[in-house]
Amino acid sequence: MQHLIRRDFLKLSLISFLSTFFGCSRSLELSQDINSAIKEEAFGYFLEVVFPTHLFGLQKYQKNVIRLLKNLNSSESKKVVRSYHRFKDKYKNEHGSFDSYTLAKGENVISQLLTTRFFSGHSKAVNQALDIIYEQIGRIRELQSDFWGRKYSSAGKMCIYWHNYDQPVT
Amino acid sequence: MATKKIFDICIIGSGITGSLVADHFLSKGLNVVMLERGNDIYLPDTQERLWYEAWQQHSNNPAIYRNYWHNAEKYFDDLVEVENVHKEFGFHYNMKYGLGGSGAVWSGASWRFTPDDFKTKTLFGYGRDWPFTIEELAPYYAKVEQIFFTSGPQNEPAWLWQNHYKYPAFKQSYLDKVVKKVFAPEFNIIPNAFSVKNLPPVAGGCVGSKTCVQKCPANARFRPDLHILHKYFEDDNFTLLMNTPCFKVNLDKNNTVASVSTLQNGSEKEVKAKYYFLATNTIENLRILHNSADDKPVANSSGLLGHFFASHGAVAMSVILHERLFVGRGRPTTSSAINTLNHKDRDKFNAYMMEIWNFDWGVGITPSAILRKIRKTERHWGVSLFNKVKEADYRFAATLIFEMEMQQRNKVTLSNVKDKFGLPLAKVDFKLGERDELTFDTLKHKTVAMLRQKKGVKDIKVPGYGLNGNHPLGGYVCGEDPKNSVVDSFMRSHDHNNLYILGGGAFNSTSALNPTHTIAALTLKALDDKRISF
Repeated sequence: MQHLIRRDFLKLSLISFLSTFFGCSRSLELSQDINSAIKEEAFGYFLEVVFPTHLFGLQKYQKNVIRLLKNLNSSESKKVVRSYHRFKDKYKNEHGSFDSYTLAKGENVISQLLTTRFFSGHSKAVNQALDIIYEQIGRIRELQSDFWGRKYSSAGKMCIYWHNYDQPVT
Repeated sequence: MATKKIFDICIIGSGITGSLVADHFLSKGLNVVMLERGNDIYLPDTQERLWYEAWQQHSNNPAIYRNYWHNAEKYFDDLVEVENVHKEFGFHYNMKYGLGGSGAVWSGASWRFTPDDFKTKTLFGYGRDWPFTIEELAPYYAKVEQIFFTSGPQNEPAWLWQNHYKYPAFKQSYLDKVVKKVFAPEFNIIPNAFSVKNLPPVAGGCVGSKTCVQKCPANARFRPDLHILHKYFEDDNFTLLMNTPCFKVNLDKNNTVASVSTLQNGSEKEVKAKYYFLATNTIENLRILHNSADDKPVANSSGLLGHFFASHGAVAMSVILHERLFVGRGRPTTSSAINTLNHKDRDKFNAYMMEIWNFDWGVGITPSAILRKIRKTERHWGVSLFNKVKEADYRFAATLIFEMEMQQRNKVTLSNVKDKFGLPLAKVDFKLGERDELTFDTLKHKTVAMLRQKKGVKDIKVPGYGLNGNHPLGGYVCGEDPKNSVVDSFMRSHDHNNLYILGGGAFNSTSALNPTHTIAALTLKALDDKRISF
């Protein structure tokens, strides 16, 4: 019995230590669902770093992305929420709060999370979350035209520019 | 067990060469049997051809030129596989078995070879001269251009030879025009020739779908199965045996071909005819011939069967310009530069050309595909990722393709590895020659560096280089001297007077141009052989 208590104590201590050391609150990131995460103000900042709509004039697609994220399966949404929490915690650790949030600061946080750290697993986890989000962004059909500010032509169908592909798009 | 019937003509293979042979003899009312190892081709409805994805996956491997289909086995249960002796610059064959052969999935690129390609030994001191000139082959090229409803430029001043195209060339894309300006004067970008109907869509012409190789939704690209064989499906003189691999040529005591051995529903059966046309791909033809040598060699009295094997080399470039290109519009490719074919140093390094693509197939065509691709392969995210997607409208692929010297030492033999029918695979023993090495080096470094210095160029990357997996050439070289060649100038075996061996294996030089048009022209030349009589 003694040794079991000792083992659990060590386990808890280790989790606590890791949480502090890596700046993440594991219990919350594991329990929060994507719907409640999305409602947090910080999630908006997280999403803006990943998909900087303001910079590219694509603000109207933020809602589409959020709708798609809400429909993620359990495993995918957990990965996104977990990475969001890592972003939020690290940002707060470095800047105190989001009051003076800038895109550059947010980018710096993601960059750090993506930097491989021995044993941390952050890089892999955050990369997976980004893959999931970009996969969803790629599914927004209407967004495709706005990427290039012109219509695109799908493969396998008649080219929509077939009559004037020799001219620039005006 | 032999079939009782003796056909006039036995054709092994249902691709472009086999279909031309069938058309020739069936139109004369002769009795034709065609043996096809594969089945009808299933092409995926999803229009996303994912070989560019494989390109990225295999970007660390120089031998990336095999056009991998995503989950190839899902679509083709019987791909032509080879064993490579040398892994680096291995030849990864892209062909598959099935009705129409590789002609069912080709790009339609329809170049004639240049006059100099037929006499490289005389003019430049390397390779082998052909036993005939381009002038002798010209009437057959002209016929092919009509049969294949080829579209190409009329009286193109940069053209090095005559043409007889059925339809005018496709318009050069806007991208072509910008690149022409940027890459001049070293590369003169001119329209290509394609065996694709340049007619209005309502008349069955091309619709610019960008999936030419995989599937033309308008059936505007020439396909031997659709445009030749379908005509004869109800013809009583035509026997088409599908799922029937031919694995052996059997000789009689007069050294003529008496029959070919096939597998039909797992049973060995012989098929007999008066004339035999080996019309499978180069690799398969060589497999069958090598596998036929039981007591004595077949088509190999010269000892050269399988030798002089080569392909095309290629250096792929991913180019980003400062000027916007509005990519992914029209056909996948409409232009090339061929002014480099007969460059002034051809005695030292090989002829080459540049193919311009209307998008960068390394990343895809549509913005969302590009987003996913750049994310997956380059791991960009955030601002950087979306900048890359925007940049893709300034980005295209260009391929430097060059000839390879046909060297006797490069050869195809039989492997100990067996295919699903228990037949030995082909074993490819190929090494780059000195000229090939120099050409690779020059194009990969000097030419790319020169282009990077161009005013309109922002960046050029070389995502890959290697051997083209679609163009196996040589292996049964043609010539008038039976001691120095496998087939004569009509592609008839020197050793067996009722056996014709067709395809790129009969080539004596590779040129830097796509070979299909020349393969077809050689087939029509073979069919003009006055020694064929009934």
